[in-house]
Amino acid sequence: MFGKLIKNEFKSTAHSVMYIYLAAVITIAMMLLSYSVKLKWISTLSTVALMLISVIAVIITLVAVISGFYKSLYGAQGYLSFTLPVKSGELLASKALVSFVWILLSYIIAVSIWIGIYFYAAAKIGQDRITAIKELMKAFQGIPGEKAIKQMLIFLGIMVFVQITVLISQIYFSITLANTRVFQKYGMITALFIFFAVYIVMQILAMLLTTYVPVTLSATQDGLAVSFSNNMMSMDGIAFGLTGTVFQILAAAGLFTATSYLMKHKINVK
Amino acid sequence: MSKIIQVKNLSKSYGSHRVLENISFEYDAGQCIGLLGPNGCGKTTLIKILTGLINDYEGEVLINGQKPGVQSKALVAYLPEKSYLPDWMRAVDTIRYLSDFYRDFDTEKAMKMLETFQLPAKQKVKSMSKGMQEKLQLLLVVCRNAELYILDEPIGGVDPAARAFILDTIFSNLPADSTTLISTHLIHDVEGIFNRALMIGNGRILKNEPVKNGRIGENTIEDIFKEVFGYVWQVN
Repeated sequence: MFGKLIKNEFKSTAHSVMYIYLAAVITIAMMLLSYSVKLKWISTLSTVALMLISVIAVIITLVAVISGFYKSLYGAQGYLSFTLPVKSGELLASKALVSFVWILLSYIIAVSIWIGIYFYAAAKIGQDRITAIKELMKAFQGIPGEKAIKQMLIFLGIMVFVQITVLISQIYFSITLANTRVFQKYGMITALFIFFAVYIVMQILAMLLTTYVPVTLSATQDGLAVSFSNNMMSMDGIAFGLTGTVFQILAAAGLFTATSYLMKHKINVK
Repeated sequence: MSKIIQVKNLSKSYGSHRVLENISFEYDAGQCIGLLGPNGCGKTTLIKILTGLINDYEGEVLINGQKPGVQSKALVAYLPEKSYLPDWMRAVDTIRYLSDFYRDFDTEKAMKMLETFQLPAKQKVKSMSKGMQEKLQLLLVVCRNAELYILDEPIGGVDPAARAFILDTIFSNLPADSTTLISTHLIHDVEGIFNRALMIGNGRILKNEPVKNGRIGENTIEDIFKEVFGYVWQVN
């Protein structure tokens, strides 16, 4: 059943986000075309359009994730979703997984567009790709060693995964809590207040934990190493707080569990 | 015979408003039960509890011996009062969706019924009229070979011709050994089909009687309904 839930969830959400990705593909095609036929105004226009699309793609995806979750569970469609012979945990997990994929895709597309534009602009001013990459690598100045850079990029990737998961858990929890009998009468604005309350509390707790349990990853010549200092700028360069990250992972798990519990026991589908 | 529905000491409140007050009843499988009562008497709340849409209640509810959950939902075909199909789906998508999740869904029958009902397979739900959406929802329910059918006001708000069509569709398609619970306040059209009448008012069971040829004892269900619920419309 879980596979079927995921399949149908992809079908459902694709309708909300596919147009923006279609727009991105068309604009990229226009940009490449303008590059080959050397029409400056088209290339300028499509570059600006792509920049806008990169931002809009992320916003539209987030809106689709929020409205899709609300409509499919707590709107009239909830009569269909909640009467399916599936566990509420499966229902939640399928939605979370699909939302995760869409948000990640929107981030990848946004970053790819900006990197693409960077190389496009570099080519326009006559820079070759190697020089452009070297210029880009200046962003990592101060990090000792190639190994540390590679590990840092992997860690940053993991952080993006964690942040998306945390964001989805916060959104789902807020919407679900706002649809329990206690909060339902105040309307959907409650979800927004709950979201910010959860977000702020989690930030404060992560900050306190990082201060009092300072476990960090610091960049060294031999790669990233665990250290026990709350100084985010290590002697050799940048350091990442591990405590806060671990806390956020646990908090996200807690929020998903709470959401599943509320869906199973406390929801009155209107 | 097994009990398809068992409700023991069921109570449900919305805040301080008690909608169901310690009600108990049980039914054998294979019957057609009329859930009767005026608007706002708790019929839909009871149905939502039976279908697993409301879970915060007191008391015990069993569907074929199971609490409302994954197993019971596989046995129940539910027709809600409102339109619930996603806007983006086409008629054919709704059929595929149901066949994905319910083993007892008859896809072939559903595709044939789309033609019979003159519903274009590729038309999106959002572009369908209210009547077309109602037909589609009805089709999706009657194409299941479920053990229990729960129909919430299936003939509410439609003209007499549509009522006849809906009732004919329901009773010519449901399996003979299945159980049907129909909530309605339009008794005249359906009283002849009930084996049992369950009347709810003020959160309590006011009548739970066997029905024979549309009569409870000597009186018609409609007469009993007027007698039981006459207070709702009394001024003094």
